[in-house]
Amino acid sequence: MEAAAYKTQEEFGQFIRLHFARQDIPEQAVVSGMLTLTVLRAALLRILQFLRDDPVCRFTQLTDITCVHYPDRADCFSLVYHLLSPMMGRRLRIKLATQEDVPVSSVTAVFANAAWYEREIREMFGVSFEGHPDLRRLLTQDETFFFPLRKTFPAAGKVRLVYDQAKGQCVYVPCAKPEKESDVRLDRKMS
Amino acid sequence: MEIKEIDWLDQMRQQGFAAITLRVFAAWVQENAAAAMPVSMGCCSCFGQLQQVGVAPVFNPHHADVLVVSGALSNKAAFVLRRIYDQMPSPKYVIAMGTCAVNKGLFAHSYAVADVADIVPVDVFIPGCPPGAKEMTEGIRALRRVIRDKIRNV
Repeated sequence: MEAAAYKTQEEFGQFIRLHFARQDIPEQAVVSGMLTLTVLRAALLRILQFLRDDPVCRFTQLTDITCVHYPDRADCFSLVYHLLSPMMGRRLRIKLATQEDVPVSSVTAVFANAAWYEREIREMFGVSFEGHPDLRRLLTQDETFFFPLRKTFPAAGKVRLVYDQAKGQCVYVPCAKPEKESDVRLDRKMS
Repeated sequence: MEIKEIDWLDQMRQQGFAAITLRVFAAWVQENAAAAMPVSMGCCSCFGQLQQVGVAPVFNPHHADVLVVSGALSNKAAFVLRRIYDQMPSPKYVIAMGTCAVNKGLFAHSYAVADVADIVPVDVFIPGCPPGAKEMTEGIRALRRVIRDKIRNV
């Protein structure tokens, strides 16, 4: 009933921003029909906690966490949190710009399913999280020393796995330079 | 595959009748009783298709003569595949079944997929996505030729 007062997405965004300091949520936009809040690193956990527990918001589900790499920017990674409120029938997107060196606080304390998302983001992009209970790799080999989903990483990889007869084990060897034009196109431009 | 024609009479004169007969018999046994171990990592699972062409699958590398690899081999699985291959008793043969195992197929540009031929020595490649009964029959026939030649021409 109280939620009915915030009919439009903009009004709802204003309602959320009222509960925090102005600098905690510097931007608010409606992108393709979904409210998008840009938040600061320090306020992330407080905001998610509020969104989950507030009786008007009730964003009890964390649908997904994704990451986008912008090689040109200073804060080159953008973490995107998607929230769903089944009771209120709303969705919400939260964005957070970060760098490689500065860790983001893990949201596993608020949403337990964030654990695997954050593990995958760490191995694919190299974004570090603090306060995560178990930051092992999720999909790739333990010895993997590259971050495959970064824009600066060539799609076909820089190494390939072959069996070394002399050593008696599988070893990584550097890839040959791509010869065909179609292969070159897959190698994204290095920044 | 080119089959070498052997002058059996000449061979018998050189090595003796018993040795040659024994070797031909051994080759006949090996090629007809090869037990294949399927390692399927993709959508063309090889159990049914192997049984279609009359090869009994076994699920222990210690009992297998032939390793049948199907599907895209990820880097993580490559170590396991090599370990399975190392556990098989000699003489051992490998079939790469399906386009993914032959030349990575759809996953050719992936950083995480290894070439099966780089990890284990492949004797027979069976193309197809998935290989039909005709290709499978051809492949098994080719494998029997490989086994026969290897044992007879020691």
